[in-house]
Amino acid sequence: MSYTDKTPNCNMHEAMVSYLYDEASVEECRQVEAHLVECRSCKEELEAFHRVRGMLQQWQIDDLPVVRVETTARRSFFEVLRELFTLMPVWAKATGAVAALMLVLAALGTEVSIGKQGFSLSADITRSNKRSASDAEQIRVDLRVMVNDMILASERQQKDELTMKLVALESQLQSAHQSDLVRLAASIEDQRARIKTIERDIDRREGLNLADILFSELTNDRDERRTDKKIGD
Amino acid sequence: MELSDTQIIERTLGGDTDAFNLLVRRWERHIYGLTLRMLGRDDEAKDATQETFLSAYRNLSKFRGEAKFSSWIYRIALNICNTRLRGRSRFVISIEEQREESGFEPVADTNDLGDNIQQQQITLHVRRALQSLPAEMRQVIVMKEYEGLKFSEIADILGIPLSTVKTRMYTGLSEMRKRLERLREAI
Ligand SMILES: [Zn+2]
Repeated sequence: MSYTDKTPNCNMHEAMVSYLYDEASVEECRQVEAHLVECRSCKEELEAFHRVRGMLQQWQIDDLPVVRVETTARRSFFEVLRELFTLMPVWAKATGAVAALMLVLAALGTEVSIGKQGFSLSADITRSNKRSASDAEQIRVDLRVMVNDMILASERQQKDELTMKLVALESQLQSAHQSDLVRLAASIEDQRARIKTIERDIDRREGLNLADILFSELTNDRDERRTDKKIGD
Repeated sequence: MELSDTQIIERTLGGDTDAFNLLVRRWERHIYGLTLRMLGRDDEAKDATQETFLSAYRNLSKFRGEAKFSSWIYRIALNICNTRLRGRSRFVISIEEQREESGFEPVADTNDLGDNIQQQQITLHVRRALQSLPAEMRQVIVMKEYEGLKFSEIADILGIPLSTVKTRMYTGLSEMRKRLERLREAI
């Protein structure tokens, strides 16, 4: 092996690499150049480093990966929630989906239970009808935690596309207007009567998509085609 | 006039989320170059690149303007590479080496192709030599040699003193010299 030993006694290592990459100060340059005249091993080492650099430069990259970060325009809090729930059926088996439904329904003063007939709803009349913006803010915080959990779960399973959707959602939850949240809080009382209707509907017709009903009610979306979907799919 | 990285970030955070893709287009080549040279494997580098931008997008609101965006995203990419490197087993690496070895058998020996093959051989050995370095030396060499960063920027990205960066660079080059001179004797 033609490798010459390192030059530990010269104490020139830092100055040498600065010099090699044209980052040496005037003083360092002078120092290095003076040293190279009298130290053969440092001179050889510097030449060898130039050769190493030449070989490193042989490795150039010509291909490029297709990088795509799916970003979507900023939307209202309700739209974000709706999309979250449309993504959820994929994760229906994950506890996250059920927990999310529970969370939002609880925020609406409605209890959810899972019994023989599947999901059922019942309004919790003992809870206060008045809800503040801070309650709504808490919903947002909890939802973000949940979305983050889903992102992690998705990444673990390497579901890139879903991960990107969730990431976009997460950032939208973050930027949702406070006014949306206040509106959410304010609308809750109005929704009570409707939730009772939904409750009856769910008892009557088996297998409704709970989230779709809930959020189409909440956002006054009269998109009826969704109501024949099945829970969890 | 071309927007600065900071201006693009402001737009993205302000709701024009598509603007983020300008940053992706601007930096993807650099990030892929970094991850490929750190990880040594194309498929893994592509995943790491995607992961880097995803993570940057997700954490964009945490980006503080006092740092350069490039330093910030290089740091994210290096963390992702280090996590992947730590998760690798020796077994996986040896399989990969075998695969590479078999993929570089000479296919023909006309003069024209001969140069090409020699070039490929050098590239292969450079890749191998780099991969065999400890990651902390490799990342300094990669950022300096291929990304052309100043030593002070590398120190900033890694959060280590400038003198440590230069020492790692020196040791890394010495190690590369050992490995590559062995190769020069061989070819
Ligand atoms: Zn010397």
